[in-house]
Amino acid sequence: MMHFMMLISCQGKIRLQKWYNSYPEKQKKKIIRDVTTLLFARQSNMCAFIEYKELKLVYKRYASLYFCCAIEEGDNELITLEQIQLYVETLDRYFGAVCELDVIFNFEKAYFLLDEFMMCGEVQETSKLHILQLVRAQDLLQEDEVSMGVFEDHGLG
Amino acid sequence: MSQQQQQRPPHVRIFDASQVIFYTFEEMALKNIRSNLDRLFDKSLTDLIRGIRNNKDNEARYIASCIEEIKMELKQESTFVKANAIEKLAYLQMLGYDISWASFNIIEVMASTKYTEKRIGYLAAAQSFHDDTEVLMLTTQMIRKDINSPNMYDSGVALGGVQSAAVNVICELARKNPKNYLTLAPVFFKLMTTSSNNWMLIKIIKLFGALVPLEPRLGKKLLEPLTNLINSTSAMSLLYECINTVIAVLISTSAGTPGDHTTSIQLCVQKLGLLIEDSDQNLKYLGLLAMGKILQTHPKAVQAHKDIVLRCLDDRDESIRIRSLDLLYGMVSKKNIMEIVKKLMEHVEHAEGSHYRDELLSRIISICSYNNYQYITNFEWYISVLVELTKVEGTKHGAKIAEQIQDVTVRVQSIRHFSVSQMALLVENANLLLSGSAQQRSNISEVLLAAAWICGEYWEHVRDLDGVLAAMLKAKPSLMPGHILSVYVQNIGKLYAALLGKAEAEDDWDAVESLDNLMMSKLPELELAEHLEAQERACTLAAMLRVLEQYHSRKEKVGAEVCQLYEGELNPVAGKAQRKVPLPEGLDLDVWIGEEWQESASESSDEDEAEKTFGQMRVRSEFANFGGPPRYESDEEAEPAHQKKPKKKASTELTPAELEKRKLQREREIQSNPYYVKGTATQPKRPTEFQMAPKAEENGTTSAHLNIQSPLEIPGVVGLSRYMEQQDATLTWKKAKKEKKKTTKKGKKKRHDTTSDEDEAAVVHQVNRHDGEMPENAKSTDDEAEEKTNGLTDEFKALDVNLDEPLRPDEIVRGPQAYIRQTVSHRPLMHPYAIDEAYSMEYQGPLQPRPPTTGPLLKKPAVETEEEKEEDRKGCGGKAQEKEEGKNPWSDGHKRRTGCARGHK
Repeated sequence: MMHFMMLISCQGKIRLQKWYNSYPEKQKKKIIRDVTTLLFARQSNMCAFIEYKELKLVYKRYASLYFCCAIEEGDNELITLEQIQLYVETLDRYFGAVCELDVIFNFEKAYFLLDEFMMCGEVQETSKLHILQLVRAQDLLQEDEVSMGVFEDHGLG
Repeated sequence: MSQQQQQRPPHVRIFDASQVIFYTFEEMALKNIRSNLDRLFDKSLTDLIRGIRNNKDNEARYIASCIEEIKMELKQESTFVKANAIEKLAYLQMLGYDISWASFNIIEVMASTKYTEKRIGYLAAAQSFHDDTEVLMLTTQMIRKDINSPNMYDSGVALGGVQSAAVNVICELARKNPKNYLTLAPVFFKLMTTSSNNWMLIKIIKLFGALVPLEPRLGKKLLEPLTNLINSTSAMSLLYECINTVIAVLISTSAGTPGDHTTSIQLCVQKLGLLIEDSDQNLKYLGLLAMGKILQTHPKAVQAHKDIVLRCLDDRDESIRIRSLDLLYGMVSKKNIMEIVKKLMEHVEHAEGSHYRDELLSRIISICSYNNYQYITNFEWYISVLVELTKVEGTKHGAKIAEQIQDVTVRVQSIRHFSVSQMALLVENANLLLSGSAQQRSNISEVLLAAAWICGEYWEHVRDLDGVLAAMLKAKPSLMPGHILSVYVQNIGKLYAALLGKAEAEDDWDAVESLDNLMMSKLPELELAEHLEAQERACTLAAMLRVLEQYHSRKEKVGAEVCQLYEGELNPVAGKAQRKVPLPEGLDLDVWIGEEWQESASESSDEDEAEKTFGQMRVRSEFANFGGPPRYESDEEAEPAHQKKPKKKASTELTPAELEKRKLQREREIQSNPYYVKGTATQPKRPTEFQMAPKAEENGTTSAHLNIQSPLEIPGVVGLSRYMEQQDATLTWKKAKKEKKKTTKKGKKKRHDTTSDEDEAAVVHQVNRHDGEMPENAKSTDDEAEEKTNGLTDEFKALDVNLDEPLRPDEIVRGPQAYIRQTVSHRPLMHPYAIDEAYSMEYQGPLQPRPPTTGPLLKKPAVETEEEKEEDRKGCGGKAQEKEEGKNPWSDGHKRRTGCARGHK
């Protein structure tokens, strides 16, 4: 089971954090700090796995963003890398040539995509297309409401 | 606009219309104007993010002002404004700001009737709520309400778009209690042999890994398909999972039935070898990791890959190097230990970062000391290695090195001469060694402890007793940690006794007098040591000397008596000896021996008493790490008649009652003594400033010619490289090597037979490889089971469920049964709205079970059509599948989805 996933920028800013286990706020901050220092100590030629307490960190760097997941002892590191890749591909497909700014300004969308992809720390959907369909369907619904809001505003509801 | 209206599903319109009823037209118009105005002035999320990016210098202040704004916004009535505020808060939460104060507002937004707002509310709740959130009760009620909501979108959000796969769910459940899912094994077995969806296969294989310990027959059946997969798959993740499971299967089956699994192991090791040799660092790392697991049960198989593993020691990546260090101890043999350690020593020299260096250091020691020095044939070499290791700067393993030097010297009699000569040099150059940085000093000083002890204990091997004694007496209490100083004082006593004995034997009264003078001139300084034990020992020794001086003034010989104080051989004592002491019959530690003791009595204990008991309490620190039970310093000094005997003798002579009495007395003293410090006493701080002056003085003479060398280089200390040079230069060493080669076969067969070990090679020393002395009547084999279980991985520990307990009726898992719906929905499944509709209960008719469709375990898989097979091949992560998706996204996505999520039916 995945314990948490976080996106950390090269400047050490956290761009997204998803926790699949309940941690106290203080511990979360400590973990983020630890993970950031661990990640920044790695060089590009090093392997993508770090042992962190009883967890294993699996990370991959895309441009200026680190995608980092923490998995349990018995979990498969390579499939976790695949998961990261799949998530990035989904983001890429959704935003179209995704970059860090997309994730910053549309962080809620990044969360929605992740929520369709993973649940309770397990992969629940492996089809990029299906994830995209679900999120787009929800977006469509929102757009409808926005236009409704316009009618309401003008007293036409 | 009207077009958009038509696109909306009908019930949304109804919903909105119902809201309109609540307001009169005027009210609504007013409201709208106000909220429009609000919107104009509100910051949107984008504004906030931009603002933060533009205010990098005073981010905290900017955000504080934003939070104030958000608090204002939350007070407004409009849910739109609120939702906007909550969205901003969700962003701030991600940045690490506390938003727990807004949890009630989040609930409000969650309760919104608009999908956009609800979605944001749920996101914020999922991110920020935790166990202690006060509104948790409200939240669960909200979710329940939303799931039951007739509005299909609400339930969609509440469920988070649940599309979780049956396989996923069962695998997760089964991991918690595998036994109850054994009945499903045939189904999964069929899935495993037929499917090639890698995501699912990995899950299934993991599940089998959990089931195997419960059903050994399953393990046998699994090996074949797993090896097939290992041979056929190109996906590394699947390959790795298969290998891991095969290893797990073999570990669990080999424990029960001794079968021949060499081929499977060979296959795994071969594949892992490929992974390790791969240029991909990730595969290399995982290969080494899995290899380590095989090493625990099949060390022979791993040894074939010694060269690859050794090569990994040179890898750029530290984590890979550490993994290969893990494997090293399985690769070491008598033949190659020197080569391997040499390589490791080179790494120590070049290692960057103290973590890796310390790791290397402790590995070298653990490899060499493995199984009481099983692999070491040349102990002079090992001592050289250890001396070399003391030069490593900033390591925290100084005490470990010291312990090893002591242990080897105690166990290997023939090495003592060499060892003492090296240690004497260390002691004589202590001031040089201590002149390094503070870190270096703390490391090296631990080694001085061993050096001093060895010189004192084996003084008969010391060439220049006077020199060593003089060097030891020079020890500065300000420079040296107290526990080492106390060892120094003790061993000064030993050396003094030795010299005195010699001088008296030669009737050289001048020498006796100058010896006494030397001692009396230097001891007072040591008496001022801050460390209590060092101080006490120094005082005792000085007092003793004053008595001896009186004898000497009357020309009476007392050397023999003094020597008796330190007589006797020290033997290694087993680490568990203390707890193996058999409990004397009729000893009840809870019973009072005398009258019950009254609380107030002990306040008046005078100083003498306190000091005496203090001495009794303290562990003799030089033995604290020595693998034996702690010895009490004063036992020795207070009872010279006992001489030096292993502790166990002394303790067995005491009657239980006496023991008991002592214990009670100790406890009482501990309780009443306000100065008693539990555990190790803190070392006195060594002043750093005024030590400069004496150092400069002392260095003045020696450093002139030594400055050219490395500061730690001591002339005469052989060290590893010089030792190897010397050895290579002599013929005997080469000859010995050859001889050793001849005899290794014989040696291997009878490893535990000491006689065959002895004639193995010329350089072989007689080593006391016993675990150490044990009390009489104690068996070394009792309660040792705990160590064996350590080999198994955590995965199997996690499976430690109660297997004897039968399933409760509600727990029984039946084989999967297909369900048919009575009222068939005509909606196409892949329509975006239809998916969510499936969750609303209205559309579902009653479900009817059908008889199971699956056959018995291991029934041959039904022949698939070519098309299906093709489809199956598109597992995860493949690049081919990517292109496919691009071409026909709709259908491919659907197929793969059903393949993965629903399983093959």
